[in-house]
Amino acid sequence: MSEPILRLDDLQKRYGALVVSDHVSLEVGAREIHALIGPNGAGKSTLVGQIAGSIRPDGGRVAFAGRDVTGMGVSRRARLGLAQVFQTSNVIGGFTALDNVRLAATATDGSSFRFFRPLAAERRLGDRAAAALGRVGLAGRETVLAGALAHGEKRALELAMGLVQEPRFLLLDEPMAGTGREETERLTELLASLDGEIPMLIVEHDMATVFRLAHRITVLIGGAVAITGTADEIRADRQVRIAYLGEEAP
Amino acid sequence: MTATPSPTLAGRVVAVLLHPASAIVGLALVVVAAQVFGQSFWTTLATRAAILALAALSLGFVLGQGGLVSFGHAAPFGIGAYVVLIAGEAGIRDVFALVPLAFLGAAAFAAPTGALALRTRGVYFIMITLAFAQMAYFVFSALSAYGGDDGMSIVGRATVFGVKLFRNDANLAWLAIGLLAAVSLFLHGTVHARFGHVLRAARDNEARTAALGFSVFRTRLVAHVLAAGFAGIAGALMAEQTGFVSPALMNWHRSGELIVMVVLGGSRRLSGAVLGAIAVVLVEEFLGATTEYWKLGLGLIILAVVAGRVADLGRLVGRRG
Repeated sequence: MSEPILRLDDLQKRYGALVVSDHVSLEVGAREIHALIGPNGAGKSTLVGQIAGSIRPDGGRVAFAGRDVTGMGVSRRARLGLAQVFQTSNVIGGFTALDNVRLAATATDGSSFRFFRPLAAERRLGDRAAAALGRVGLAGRETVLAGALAHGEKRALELAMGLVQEPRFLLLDEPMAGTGREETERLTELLASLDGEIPMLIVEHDMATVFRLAHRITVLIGGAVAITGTADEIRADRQVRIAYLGEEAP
Repeated sequence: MTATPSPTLAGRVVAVLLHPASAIVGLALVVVAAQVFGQSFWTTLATRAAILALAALSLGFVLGQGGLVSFGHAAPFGIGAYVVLIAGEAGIRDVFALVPLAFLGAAAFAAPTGALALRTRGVYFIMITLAFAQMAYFVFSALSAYGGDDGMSIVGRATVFGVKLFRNDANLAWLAIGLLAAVSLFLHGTVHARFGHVLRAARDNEARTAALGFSVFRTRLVAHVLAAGFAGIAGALMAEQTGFVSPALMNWHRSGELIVMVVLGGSRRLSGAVLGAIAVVLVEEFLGATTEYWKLGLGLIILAVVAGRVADLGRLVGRRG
């Protein structure tokens, strides 16, 4: 495997006496879809925050695309190619769907400090945005205000905002949370179609999605990595079955 | 943009009245009429309205588009006025020097203070911008060479290549209206360009905007400094019109008055600030002439506007932005 796109090296984070990241080390390969699972309170969201840059670790290092980004904030990591899909729908509600994606495209297309040319007249950005919307199944919804989209559509829109940036890595925090069965399957297939194209780290509770997508799975329990392995290895692991998959201890 | 329901006649009239250019064209017509009928009072009033409209417009840009409620906008306004006074004492009176200098002077104040203020949010941002403006107020109060507390008259109105063009009130009115139009045009373009989109996105959802890779801080700082620069130009024009500069120009009352203008006209549209400023100037002039309690009248009008959402007349005709 070539150089991993993301490497967490001995990350530590505590809130008071509560250890939320307990010497976490993890690698996501350049073509890998890696899933992060674990029971509630296992420290998944804190770990996601440390990868995205919104939470500073107390110790350890985060390397992204071969660079140490531990000291970088959210927007700098984003400019290096780290795209994020949030746990709760996170779109610009007052913008149309197209404007949301166009805005995302702007971020990776030169300077945003342009004062004269109307964004609507930037044809190339508009075309790229429309294509990204089409790819996630939102063609025809371009002019709808993002705040008025259905929940599943917002999730798809977020994905389009990520894809239009042609990111080097997608960080997905429970992308299926709150979506219906059908929507979940559609989004899962969409992510599967990106397999080999964009590496991902996906935090997800929906095990069908996890087993469908992930090349490798890391289980986080009590802030520490319990095991990293393939879907079969995870299914077979006793510790995981007891702590997470809901099996009673003998 | 949402689909426009076929507008009624009343709706069309409202749409035209709310158009950014309408208020400016209106001011120009007042000046023309005042010249034709020899009513210099109206020229003075239109100039004052244009100047305050420019100041309110610049505040409306950061407040409405950026969601940054600055309670210290009188500071760059007053600094612009002091630039005219101080430059005049130093022998600089050409309008082509004064306008850029007023912009730069106000921007130079706004850059470091804004960089600090923008580390805070919400109420703290309001308080820290107020605090910086009060500091500016006391600094200029202490400048005894320039009149201290009492202020000082400027040497004379600006010139154009040595010609004392602005001795004529009408010419000053054209300068004020022209600058208001130019800044309006620039900000209108900015709102629809990349920069305006990022600024609004950060207002609506800061975390998302940062996660897309935009530097929210830098975007807001540039908007803050631009707004201060334009307020500085307005302050310079005020110094030109009244011929007198004092720390009272950057009193916190004025910061509040500018916020009132923006809110009165509606902060979501750029033109709202211009309309709000004109409305306040008219109320002040005519209600103020009949009763010393005119501010009570203004208060009631603000209440009516906010309660009745008259500021969102634009909704009636399905216009946005």
